[in-house]
Amino acid sequence: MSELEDPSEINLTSSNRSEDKPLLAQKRNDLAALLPICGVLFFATPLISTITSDSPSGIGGTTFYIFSIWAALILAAYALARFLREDDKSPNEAD
Amino acid sequence: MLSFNLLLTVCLIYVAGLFGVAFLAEKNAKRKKLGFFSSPVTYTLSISVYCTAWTYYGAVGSAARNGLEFITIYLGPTLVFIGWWWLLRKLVRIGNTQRITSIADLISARYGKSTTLAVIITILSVIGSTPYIALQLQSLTLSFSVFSDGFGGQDPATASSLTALWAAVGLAAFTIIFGTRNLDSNERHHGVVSAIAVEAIVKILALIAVGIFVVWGVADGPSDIMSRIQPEIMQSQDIFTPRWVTLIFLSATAVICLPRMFQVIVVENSDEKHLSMASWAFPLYLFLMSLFVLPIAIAGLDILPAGANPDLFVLTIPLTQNQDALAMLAFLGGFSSATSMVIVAAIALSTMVSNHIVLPLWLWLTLSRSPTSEDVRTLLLRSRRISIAVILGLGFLYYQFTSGTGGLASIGLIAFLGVAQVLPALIGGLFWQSSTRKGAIWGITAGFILWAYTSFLPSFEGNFILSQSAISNGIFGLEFLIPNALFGVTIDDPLVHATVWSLGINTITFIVMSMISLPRPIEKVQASQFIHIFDQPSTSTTLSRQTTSEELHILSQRILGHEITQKLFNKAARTQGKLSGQLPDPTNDFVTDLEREFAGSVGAATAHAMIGQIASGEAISVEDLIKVADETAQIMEYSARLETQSKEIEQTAEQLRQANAKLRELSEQKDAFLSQVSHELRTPMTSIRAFAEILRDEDHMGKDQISHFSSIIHDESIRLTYLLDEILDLSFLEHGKVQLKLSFTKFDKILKRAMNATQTLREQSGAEIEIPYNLKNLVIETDADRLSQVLINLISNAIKHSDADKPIIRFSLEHFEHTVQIEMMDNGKGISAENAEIIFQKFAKLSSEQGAGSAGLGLPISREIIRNLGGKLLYVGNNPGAVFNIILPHSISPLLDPAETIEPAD
Repeated sequence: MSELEDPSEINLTSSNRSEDKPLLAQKRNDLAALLPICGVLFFATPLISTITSDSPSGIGGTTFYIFSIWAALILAAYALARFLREDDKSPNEAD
Repeated sequence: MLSFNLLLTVCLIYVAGLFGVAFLAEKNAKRKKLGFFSSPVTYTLSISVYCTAWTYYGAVGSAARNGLEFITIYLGPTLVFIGWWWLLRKLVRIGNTQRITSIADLISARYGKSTTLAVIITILSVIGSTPYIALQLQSLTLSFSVFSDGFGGQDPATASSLTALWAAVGLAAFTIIFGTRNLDSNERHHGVVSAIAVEAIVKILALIAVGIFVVWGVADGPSDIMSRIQPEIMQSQDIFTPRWVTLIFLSATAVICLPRMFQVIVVENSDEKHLSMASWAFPLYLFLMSLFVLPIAIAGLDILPAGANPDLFVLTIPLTQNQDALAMLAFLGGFSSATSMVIVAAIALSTMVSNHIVLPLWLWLTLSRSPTSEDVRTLLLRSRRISIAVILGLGFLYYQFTSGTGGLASIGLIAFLGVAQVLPALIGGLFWQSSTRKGAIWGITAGFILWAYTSFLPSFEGNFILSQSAISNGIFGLEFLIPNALFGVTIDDPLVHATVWSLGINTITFIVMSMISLPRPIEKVQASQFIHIFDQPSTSTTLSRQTTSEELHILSQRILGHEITQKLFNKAARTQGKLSGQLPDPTNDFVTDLEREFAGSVGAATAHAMIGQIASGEAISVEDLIKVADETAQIMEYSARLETQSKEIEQTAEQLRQANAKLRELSEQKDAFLSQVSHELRTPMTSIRAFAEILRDEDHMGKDQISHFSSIIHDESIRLTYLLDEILDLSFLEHGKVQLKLSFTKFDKILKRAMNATQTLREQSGAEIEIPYNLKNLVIETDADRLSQVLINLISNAIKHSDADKPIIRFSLEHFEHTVQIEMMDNGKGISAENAEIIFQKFAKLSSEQGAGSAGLGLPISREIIRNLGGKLLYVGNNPGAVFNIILPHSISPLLDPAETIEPAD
């Protein structure tokens, strides 16, 4: 039995190793999709009106909400761009 | 107060500065030293062409009227840019690899380089953009009119018309000079982009400066501003409305689909990596642009007299506060916004018009003649210049036609919705394999018609095509055709209503038509190139090889110019291994490359048509070729399948042949065995028969004689029986059918039995057998009878074949982990090499001597016995006498199958 297990284990680890890169790229793609989804969630769903209140400072609150989320998204996009650029060896570079 | 003349002077100086920047960038581009001019910063700034005068001035106006709604126009693009990895990156990659020149080109290229589609989108874009250009002209004249004291007593209406006219002429001149200097295969305009980047900086600086002045100069900081908030701005109702979502959606769509946005984002992109900076820097730009909009609106409503145009707060606040320099900066910001938009839009539209309408028309008109007989290059440049003039002229006319109606104010969003009709076909084209040209054409046309009916035409308020009564009561008085309540669907907001109808029907038509129509082969090729743009290096469509290099060379010179053509052809010649000066062969690769280069100048569809036309003498279209290729592929697939089938058959035949050979071998072995057996049986039978006949026929025989003959018959019968027994035994052993009587036995006991059996033989020859002590004491689990049979055979063989005077047989023992090895060695001359090969074969008669009465079954039987006992009997060589090894397991029980042998640990 042990003789049978060993080769398969080796196969498994070697295939894992070779799949590391595509797997990472997949994760990266997923991460890149997260940001616009968050953006839509915060700006284009009723979530935005939960902050609005009837008080005179209502517009102030909403404004603050929008601008702070906006700033956070820009920062996240900055971080993401750096992260994606590090990994992405676009074919343009080879040219 | 600033004088109008001073304003004009500053304006002209500013424009001169822009000309200078554009010139400098063009000059550097020629020397390929672009540096800053092709940096990601410039790229990002050029995208800010999104912020037109409509957003520069209008955002404050919108904030003053509708509160936070203005912000949606900035949030949509933000969402698109932070999601750049999914959409924009793909668009840019496709744009760069396919040499896309406009959004119409992209969609037409995706759906099989369809000219129809390109024409539809071009018309849609021109209709959608003309009012937008008019809007910019209006904002320019409005901002000039703020300083209108200096008009010199002219009628204000004439004056503003004049301003608009001059602005249109000036913009046309700038655009023609820098937008159509040459036909770049990449369709990039470094001069224009650099000038726009400068304008972008002026825009944002101006707005921030005014904002800072308002917050800390007019008011006492942010809290003071917020305390002055007016009830108009404050929203009592929920901010999240269908209109809110629609506006975000439309602005997000606009940033992709507007011709000018596509121009700066995709066409002018020189490096994909620039996009990663733009992904956060452009949202940041929008963030800063909108940061002070609300404070400016609040302050304007607070300090300016009621009835002041909120659209001009950015200008009027500094003016009323006597901040002339700031007012001038604010004016330049607005001026920049308007001009940059008009310039880029004019370039994008003129490219589309000349590539997709003028050139195909010209090609069609000159169909009978060779396309190479005219200078396409000059024609293209001329048609672009004329297109720019015509587009700006249309914008001016539209402005003249609608000024005063107030219809312009809402045209921005209407234009957004117009170009958004391209979205389903675009997204489908990038992600949906089965979308087809038919689907795209029908979807866009349906959306376009609905948009025109529900949104565009009603915006003229009865002055254009649709009368006032048609707008309020439906066309021909049919109620279900009321533009703002189609089929009785009443949605409060006309924009939301129009969006739902036009885009909804557009998308459904696109999907349904795509599903019921089949893509043409070229569409399939393009679809996979677009959708899997990141997976493949880029394959090429084939073209007829009948195209000659000379024709291509002439055509290329016409389109790309002499210099570029020379460079391209030389490069191709080099890669094909030709001498410089020779024309390259029109290989598929070369022709595809060339077509791509042409596509950069004239658009994919036209480039395709032009190159196709050269080959059209042979009447081979790309569709035909692809069809041929398809059929070839099918045939190849079929033959490949046949090949695998025949291979399989061959394999089976080979297996059968092998099996047959084996069977024949076995049959031969069996025949040989039978003939051996019959031969062996024949000898004793012959003598038995002979003596029996003597006994029967001879009457006078002595008793002694009778008894002698009978005993011969008896002996021969015994030998016969013995032989048959042996054969039977061997057969049983070979098939593993023997019953072994296994028990743990002392080896001494087995040996003694063998000694007894061979006693006579030993005594006759005087042989001596040496057995070591440890072998006598060895206890193994085995069949004692069978093992002693082997020993008897081996000992008797050794004695019989020995040529020594006194045969000596030596036993020795060696222990291994699971096995024991018993070695038997004699002092004879050993077995010759040729005999060594056959001693274990049945009926083997050693060549040198005749076995004394032996049938030659002893060793084969011994080997089979040992095999059945789970061991091996080996002849290991001469030392100098023959050496045999018997390898046996300590215990046989774990070996369930007695036929199974275990490998000796040697």
